[in-house]
Amino acid sequence: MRKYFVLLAIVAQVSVLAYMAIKHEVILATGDPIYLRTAPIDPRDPFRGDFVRLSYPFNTVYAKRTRGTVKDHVGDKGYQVYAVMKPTENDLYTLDYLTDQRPTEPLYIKGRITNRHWSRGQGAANVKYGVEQLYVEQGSGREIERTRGTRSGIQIPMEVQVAIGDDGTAVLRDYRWSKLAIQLEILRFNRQNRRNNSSDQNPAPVELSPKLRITLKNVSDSALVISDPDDHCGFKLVPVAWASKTYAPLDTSCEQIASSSRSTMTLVPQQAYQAELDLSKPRWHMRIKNKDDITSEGEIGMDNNSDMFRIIYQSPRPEQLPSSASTSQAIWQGQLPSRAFNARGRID
Amino acid sequence: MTKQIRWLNREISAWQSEQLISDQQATQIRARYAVGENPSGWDKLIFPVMGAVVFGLGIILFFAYNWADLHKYQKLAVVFGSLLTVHGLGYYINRSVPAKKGLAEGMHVLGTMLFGAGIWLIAQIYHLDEHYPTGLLAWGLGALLFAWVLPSVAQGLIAVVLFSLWSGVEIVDFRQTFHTSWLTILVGLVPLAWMMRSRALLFFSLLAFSILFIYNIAENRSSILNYLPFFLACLYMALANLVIPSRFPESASVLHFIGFATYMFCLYLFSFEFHGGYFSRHSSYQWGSLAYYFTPITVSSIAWLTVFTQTWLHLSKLQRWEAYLIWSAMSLVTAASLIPIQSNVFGFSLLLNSIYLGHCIVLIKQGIQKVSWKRVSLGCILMAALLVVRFADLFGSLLIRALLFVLLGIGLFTVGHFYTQQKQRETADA
Repeated sequence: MRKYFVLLAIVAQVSVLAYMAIKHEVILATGDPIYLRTAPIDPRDPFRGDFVRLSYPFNTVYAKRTRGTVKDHVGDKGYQVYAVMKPTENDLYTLDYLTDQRPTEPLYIKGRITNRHWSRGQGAANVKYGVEQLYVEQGSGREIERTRGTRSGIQIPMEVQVAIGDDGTAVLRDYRWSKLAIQLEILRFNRQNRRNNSSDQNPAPVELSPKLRITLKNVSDSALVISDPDDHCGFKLVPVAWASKTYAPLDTSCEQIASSSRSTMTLVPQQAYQAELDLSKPRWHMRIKNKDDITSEGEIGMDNNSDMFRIIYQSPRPEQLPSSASTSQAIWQGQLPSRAFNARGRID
Repeated sequence: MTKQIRWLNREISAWQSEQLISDQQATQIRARYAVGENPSGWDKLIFPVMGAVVFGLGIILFFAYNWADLHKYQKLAVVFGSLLTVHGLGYYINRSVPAKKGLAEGMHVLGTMLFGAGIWLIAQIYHLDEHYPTGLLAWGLGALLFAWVLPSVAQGLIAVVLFSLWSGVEIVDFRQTFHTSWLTILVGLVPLAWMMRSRALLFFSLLAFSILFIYNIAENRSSILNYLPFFLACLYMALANLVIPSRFPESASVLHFIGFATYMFCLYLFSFEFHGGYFSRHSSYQWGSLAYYFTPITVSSIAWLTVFTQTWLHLSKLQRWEAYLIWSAMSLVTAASLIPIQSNVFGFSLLLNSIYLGHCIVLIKQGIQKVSWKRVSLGCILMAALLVVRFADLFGSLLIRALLFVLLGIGLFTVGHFYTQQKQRETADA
């Protein structure tokens, strides 16, 4: 009798491993493949060697992007949620909304709330989707981090391909690098955090907001077309999700501007385009509403502001492109965010 | 084989060569002091098992390199192939060559290590970032299964380590408590240790169970952290008395060792300043908290009542004194937790100090009676530890401090005198 029990124990161990392998193999074979943009960093696991930790924008979801009763469960570790994804350009998908009810939409990723990380702001749900680690051969992790670039250098976003099963389980399949890279440099910032309401009789005019240099570089092996119409309308200034105040741009003239053949440019491989953006200029002024609903208008650097922002390069919409360019395959499509920064010159 | 038997066998050989005894007499003496086979066969298993564990860890690290040139199906073939081969070999050797039982068990241990390696390798292949302690749990369950079906002490020990790691990581890394962890060890491994008469497995299972039980319960109820280890220790010491007439009397030493060490440590901490009043400090109680509080008190009280009613007559005078002291400490701590004692902290502390001191004296007396220098030394060290801390706490006057040292010196001198006398008496009797 004992020999059958021993055989049963062997079968049990093999079955556990077989279940793990087959479940994920089926998802890889039959699941819907989508790309997600991510930021990799390279730690090490004693059991599994090198892996690249992947951080997605939708790992932290704020209340306004949630549905159902997610808001009431942001502190419930392990609570199951579903991230409904929507397509953007280049097969990339971003979060549409986060819900705790099984969605009717076809593409969603199952995740669980984790309260391990510091939650910036209030009502933010920290979520893990099981695709935050990419295992690589020992030594390759550092190589990936080098390719991705440093905080103040040229950064190439990583885009991972995941297969999504019918129940929302996501399995990492592959990764690729964005064809366009971005660099953020702060050329000037208000070192003393001086304010306009200084008590000096005749205060010298002070720019409260930083001046930036944004570099876009073609890191692919073919030519790319980008567009930056007048007054740098190819870029927009966006507060991060955890900003303490609400911001709305005062100048909306860029919405109407169409790209002209003069503003589109072709970057050959390794060629870069640089734009200097002075955020103290009216083009970048904002309507700022604080927690007490008090509204002010002006530069983002007003009132010793420590909120973080990003500059996002936004490719022109098809209707904004000149007819000659709209059919070209070489136009880079999508959004490319810079690192987060604040008016005091800090880069996150 | 004990040291004495080894010594006797060497002497018998010498006596034979010196023709002091005949070959027949030598055989008769050897037969008289024959040593039975170690029931667990632990001495034969230790090297194959250790080899398997170390080899398995090497395999895990080998896989951790994550060879990019190997296709994932090749990696899966390595995982499944090695697991089936090693377990298959273990099964074959066990069935065909019973004399190589140690090797067969070593193979199954290696199989369990490869099972663990397989979990991490498959997680690596598919980039799984799920809750990683679950991997340790699955691995531990795989080891537990083999511990029962073979049965195997080595697999049981692996399961203890893995369950402890699983629960430890859940508590430390994820701030999550799982009562299933200590329950699995209590239900899954302690009975196995008993069934296999394995003191090693019993020791590690009880140690892991006690630590996980206390941490998992006290994680959200730190106020009962004082009481749980104390009453658990009292329970173990009662069980140590109760298991002597059982089929596994060797377990008494394990239970007494864990119980007494924890009990004296708790008593030492209580001797500083015992703040009871658990119930008077908490105005609202939940049934869960009440159960966690009263269960250890009730179970240890029942166990000691059983000791008093069933084994009392078999206990020596000093063992009875020890039982009185433990019972008094239990009554005091229970009473102190039920009533507010803020006004009488000093009185409770004094009584607990006296009980601690009483245990030291009992230990020293037991040591002198049995001519055990270990017990005498332990008693003296514990007593000195108490006097050193009380020296700083209580006695401000230099004169009293000096007197205390003189008394301690006289005490130790007296202990030494009685110990030497007893030893001389035993030598003369021999």
